[in-house]
Amino acid sequence: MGKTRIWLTLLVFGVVTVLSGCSACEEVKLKAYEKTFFVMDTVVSVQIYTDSEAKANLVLDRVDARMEELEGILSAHLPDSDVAKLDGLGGIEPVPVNSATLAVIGTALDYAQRTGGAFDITLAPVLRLYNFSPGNERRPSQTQLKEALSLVDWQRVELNPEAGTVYLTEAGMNIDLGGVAKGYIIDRCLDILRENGIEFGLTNAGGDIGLLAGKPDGSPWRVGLKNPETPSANFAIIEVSQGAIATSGDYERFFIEGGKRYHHIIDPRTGMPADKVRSVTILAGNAQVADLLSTAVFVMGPEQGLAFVEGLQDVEAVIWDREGRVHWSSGLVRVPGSGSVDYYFRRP
Amino acid sequence: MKRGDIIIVLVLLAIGLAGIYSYFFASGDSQGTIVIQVDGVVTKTYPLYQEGRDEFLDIQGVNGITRVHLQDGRVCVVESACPDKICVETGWISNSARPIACLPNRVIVKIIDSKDGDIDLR
Repeated sequence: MGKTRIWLTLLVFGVVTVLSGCSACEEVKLKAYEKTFFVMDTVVSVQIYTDSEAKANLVLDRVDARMEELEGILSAHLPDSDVAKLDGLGGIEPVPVNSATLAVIGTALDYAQRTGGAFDITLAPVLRLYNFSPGNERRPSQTQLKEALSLVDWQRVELNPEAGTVYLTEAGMNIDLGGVAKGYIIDRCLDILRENGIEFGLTNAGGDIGLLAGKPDGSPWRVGLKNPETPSANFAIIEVSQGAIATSGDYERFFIEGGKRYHHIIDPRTGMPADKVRSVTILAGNAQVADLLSTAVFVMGPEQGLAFVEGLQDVEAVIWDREGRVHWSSGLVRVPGSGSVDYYFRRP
Repeated sequence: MKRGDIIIVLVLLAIGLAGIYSYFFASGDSQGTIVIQVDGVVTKTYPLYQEGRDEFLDIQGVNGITRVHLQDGRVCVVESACPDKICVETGWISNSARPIACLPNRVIVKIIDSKDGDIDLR
């Protein structure tokens, strides 16, 4: 056999290897399946990658059932929820609650302490005064605010995991899990995906996103961050391959009265909308922490908020302050990015 | 190299290049699909791109009608049976990064498989 033949044989071998490699890729190619749910006043989209439609349907049905169950336990708007049960029993007696409620409140109280009360689930009496439902919003009077603020204190929530109860120690106290329950539900959704052998998938609840991994092709997800001044546009893109990302922005729910804008992220210490920043995005190991920290850092403001985030493991932040300046934590690197945004971030 | 060998080489190269092309590019030829869901169920789908299209659709939601405007490469909600009109304020969408959702009427309009956005999620 001459040199040419050897060369040809090698070439044939190479081409066959490349082609068979590609067909092997095709064989294990996963297909995306998506289902949309309406949970906690939010559109929740669950996207999974698997090779079987039957499996996808089975898994998504399990997710559906679990989300409905958790909403029934954690939503303030459903009459049989634990949050509704606690309403009116402040200062009277401890209330037996579901283990999910214990877990959510446990984490919320932990971070209330760590954030010095910047995140506080007992803000409910103040939030009720504002009533952030479209068309029904109102600005409370100073007297009303003062009275409601006297009931805001996370240290007056007594959690008893052994007895499975929660006790609000003052009459008139209420809790609102709006800033934390959505993240918890996202995390439990991802648990179901993992338990069912799904390797690639995500849950997106109105921009609060929990990920199982990067994309099936190995690349990270590129998540767009809304520009608070024109929320239909993005000001930044962050590459994310794990954990969760959540954003709190003052453009989400607000009303205007007397020429002033009142948005729904209230400082538990003043009862007024927090006004140091316009948007906070948090990357964290799970969605529950990302969800509540986006609110807490929003209330803390850029300097204190960033310093706090720098002290946490595996947590990053991007903050748009009220002057339109963008701040980000040291674990993110700004890289030249493609396309339409000014800021493109990735973790090194 | 004999003439036959050259032909074999060319054929193999052609097969190789075609394989590489189909692997990297052919799977990405989808131009996007507009999907309309009511209460979690897909009720209608349309190709994202259709030259000269300019039509309105009335979608029956759980509380009433959501009126959708379809054009070539984009879609928006122009009216909906809801109090807050967040769906209408969302405006036009042209890629999969952002859906239009009318929560009260349980109508979702979204685009899947579009290749023109530089983000995946929002």
